[in-house]
Amino acid sequence: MIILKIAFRNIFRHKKRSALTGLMMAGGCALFALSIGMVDGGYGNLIDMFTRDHTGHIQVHKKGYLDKPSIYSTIDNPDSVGKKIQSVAHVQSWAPRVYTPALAFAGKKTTNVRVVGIDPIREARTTRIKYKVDIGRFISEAPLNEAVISDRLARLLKIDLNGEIALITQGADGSIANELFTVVGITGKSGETSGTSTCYMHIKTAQDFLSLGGGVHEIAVVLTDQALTMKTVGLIKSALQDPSLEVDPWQVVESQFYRAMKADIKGSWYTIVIFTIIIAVGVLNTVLMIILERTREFGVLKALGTRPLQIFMLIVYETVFLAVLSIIIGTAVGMSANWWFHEYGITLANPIEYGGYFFDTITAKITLRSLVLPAMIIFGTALIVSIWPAIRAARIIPVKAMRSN
Amino acid sequence: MSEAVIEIQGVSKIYRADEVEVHAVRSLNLTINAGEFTAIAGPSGSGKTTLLNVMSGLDTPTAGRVLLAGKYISEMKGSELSDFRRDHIGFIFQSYNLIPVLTVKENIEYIMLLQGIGEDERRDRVASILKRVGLEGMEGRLPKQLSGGQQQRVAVARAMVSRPDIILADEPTANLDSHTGASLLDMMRELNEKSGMTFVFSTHDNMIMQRARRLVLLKDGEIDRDEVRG
Ligand SMILES: Nc1ncnc2c1ncn2[C@@H]1O[C@H](COP(=O)(O)OP(=O)(O)OP(=O)(O)O)[C@@H](O)[C@H]1O
Ligand SMILES: [Mg+2]
Repeated sequence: MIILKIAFRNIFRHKKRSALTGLMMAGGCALFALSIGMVDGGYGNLIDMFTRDHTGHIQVHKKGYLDKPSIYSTIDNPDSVGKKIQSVAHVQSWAPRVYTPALAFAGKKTTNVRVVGIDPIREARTTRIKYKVDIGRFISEAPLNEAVISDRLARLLKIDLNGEIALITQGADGSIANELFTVVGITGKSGETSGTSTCYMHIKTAQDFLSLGGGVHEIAVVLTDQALTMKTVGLIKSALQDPSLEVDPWQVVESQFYRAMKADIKGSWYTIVIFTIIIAVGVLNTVLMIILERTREFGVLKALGTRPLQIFMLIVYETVFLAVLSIIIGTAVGMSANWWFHEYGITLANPIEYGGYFFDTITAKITLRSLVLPAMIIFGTALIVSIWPAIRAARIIPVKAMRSN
Repeated sequence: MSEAVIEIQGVSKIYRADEVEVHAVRSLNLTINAGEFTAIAGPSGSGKTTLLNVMSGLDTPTAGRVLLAGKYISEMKGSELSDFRRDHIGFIFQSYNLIPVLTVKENIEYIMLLQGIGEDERRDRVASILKRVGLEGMEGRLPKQLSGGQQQRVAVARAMVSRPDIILADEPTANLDSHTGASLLDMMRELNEKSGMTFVFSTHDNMIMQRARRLVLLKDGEIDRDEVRG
């Protein structure tokens, strides 16, 4: 206990140096807390925006559809599959979809278009497609020849609300499908659909148009929390018990987006590693300076009968005490910053684009790991860095030490 | 005669530096008995410090052995040696060497704390030793708030309070002016007479060596004279 007391008081012996070393550790701790809070908050937002835009957290397809989307790869009993999905824990809702490429005509203009058949009621519960309609309205609940088109498609075809659009494609029965639709709504400039030519219609209309019967190409599932995605994939698989179906998390469906995001997060970790090394070197320098300055003192302590292990602990305690003080301050600052950025966010002068989405504010998230991880990193660094100098101090030979100075 | 506290048996210490051998202590035999107040005197370089360091186990002899409290301290290592020193030897250093962050009271208690002596016992012992070294009322001060003479008195108290078998002091008065040094020595001798504590100290100051009851004079690492006085 006397060793603890000496260690604690030694911190206040060189106030300036302790303050500087402590400031470095506290600053690192605060910075780590904030950057982890930002990663968790920022990417949490991003994932949420991305998945709720249209992808959903989990998608179910006929086996092979993701690799080679074919009009023939259909889930033929979507209602019973959907019912089973809905019974799985944490599932919020599901929505069936039909996809096909088509040729679109309006007046003298022609372009390629992606036709998406959706269930307006289920889709509204599952994704934001309904709320992206900026001009006009969403498709009716009854299956009519109505279309909601993306902003890009509207501009390419120079078509406006209530305009007529002709779609030509091949149906599942091999016949040429060819029909006229009325534009009832145009989706806005934000989100994934802004960059593509997309035409939404009622799923029944699309099934009839493509002679698909009751089949659908995709079932998108949204969960109550995106963090539960991986776990729920397994649960859905075992609920379905159907080897002809494929259940994939958004990380697989949108693997390109996921890879880019992971690379970004990795970058944040590299920053933390580099700062940790800088802090480690700084702390090591301080501890070595302490050993050098107090060689004589350690020699005296040893001569008086202090055990080598007690001298070792004295150095470790001193470092760890300073680290703990720094962690308390650093965590308080870091978490206050996290809270502030959680409440108010950082507003960007120039919105950044990420995977087709525009972000004008980035918010932090207060998570357990943003609280615990920085503290652990700083504590661990201080502990590890103190070991070698502590061994040196413990091995000091009193006669030599007391001759020095 | 009274019983031996420390027996130095044929101890030699040879320092080797750059091919040159220095015989700091040469086949020396010396027995210190309980209750003695012994000065080890001699000119600079005569081997006083070397002899004291070998006696305390701070240095190992090149040849010979040192027997203390029935054990050969010259053959101990590590924690065993630390604990043995803590329990059997008191130290007084030339430059006081108090622990700067501890108060007078805490410095005096330090060894007792390492020994695990209970609080009541510690309090009694500290109170009594403070009175005997004339530092009552200063227990809350830090070393830097004391004069050199006062600091050395604390060092004497620290060395005595754990009741070791022997107190070794290498030039305890060298950093003090002659008057303060003399009065410190007088105090040490009084403690020796009243408590029977065994003291061995080194000095090259004539005034100081006159105060010893036994005077061992070293010359080139050998005992030149060994006389018992009044
Ligand atoms: N670590 C060492 N390495 C080499 N030689 C040493 C070492 N320590 C002491 N000596 C030599 O051993 C001899 C005895 O030294 P010691 O310090 O014991 O003398 P001393 O009587 O204490 O002298 P002083 O009165 O100056 O303190 C001297 O010649 C000294 O130079
Ligand atoms: Mg000397």
